[in-house]
Amino acid sequence: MDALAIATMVKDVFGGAVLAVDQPEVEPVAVIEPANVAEVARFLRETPELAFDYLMCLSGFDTMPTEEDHPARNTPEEDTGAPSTETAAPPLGVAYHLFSYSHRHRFAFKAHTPRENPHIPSVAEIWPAADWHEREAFDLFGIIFDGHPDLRRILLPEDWVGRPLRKDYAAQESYRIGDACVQIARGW
Amino acid sequence: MGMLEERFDPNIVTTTVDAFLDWARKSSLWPMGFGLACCAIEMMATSMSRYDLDRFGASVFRSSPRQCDLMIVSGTVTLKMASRVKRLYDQMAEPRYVISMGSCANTGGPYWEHGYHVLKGVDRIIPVDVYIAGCPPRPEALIDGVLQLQKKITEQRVVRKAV
Repeated sequence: MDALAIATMVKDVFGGAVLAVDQPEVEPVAVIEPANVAEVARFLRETPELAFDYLMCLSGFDTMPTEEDHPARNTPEEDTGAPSTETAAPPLGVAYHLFSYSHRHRFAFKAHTPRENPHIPSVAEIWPAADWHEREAFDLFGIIFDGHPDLRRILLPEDWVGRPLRKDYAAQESYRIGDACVQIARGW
Repeated sequence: MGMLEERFDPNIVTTTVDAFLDWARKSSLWPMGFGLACCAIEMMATSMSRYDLDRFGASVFRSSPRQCDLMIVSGTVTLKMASRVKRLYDQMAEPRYVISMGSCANTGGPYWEHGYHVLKGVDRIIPVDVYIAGCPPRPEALIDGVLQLQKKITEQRVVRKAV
């Protein structure tokens, strides 16, 4: 089944929970209401004609535009074309890429969640592979996966401050190693 | 040694304590069996038959820091790993030596500018005897580093006063 048909099928069942279908002509990605992620995931896994038994990847992402995306304008006239500042807090998000071994088809969906209080239901119950992937997204983006069995940092040390893959992350000045304190910034 | 030369049976060798200790130390450098990144692949290749680090007595990789003389820091030292590297170094018995292998261990390498999670040179936490440039260094370069270290060891003085 192709991804657009699957998106339509999900939309038929969940209605308003499917907010949009991104990039339909390239690789369709259904945008899901964050509160419904777990139900949609369970539907995708357990419906026999879909049978998504393989979570290929679960990734966090940050929608904040970078300096490279929108280089700073110099004059006020030029600045009118700049992205509006009303989106002061662009949301974080989580993307899910699925594959079905029995049907050999694939599907992707994603959900956005507010930057200040990012919560998404965990799918670790549905696909055990999501366990560490969600811990990684929690570690590097600070997204809280409700219902996750063991939500701890997975890559960074326990005492790390901040969420490094957020676009507005400011690196720590220094870090303590044993009884020594090393500078993180280059140079001494 | 000149005046004692050839005055004993052929199976008796005369030497100084320093020369003997240095010779013993340099000839059985036992490195620690741990690798951090791609440099470790080159380090493993160096210890295998093609490059045969054992020719220089430095290929008995030990699993315990207590049995090691040499720590080859082969790869990127992340801040999380740095505390472990320091602890392993502290657990080694003296005399102990450190070779910093590759750009990452020397200075942070490609992570120098933007690596928020990388230690900018392992010499910020432990003393380093020999630095090897390269990304990663070829096995020949690692062998050269070991030879440099052996040269350094032969210049050590334990009993004699430094001249």
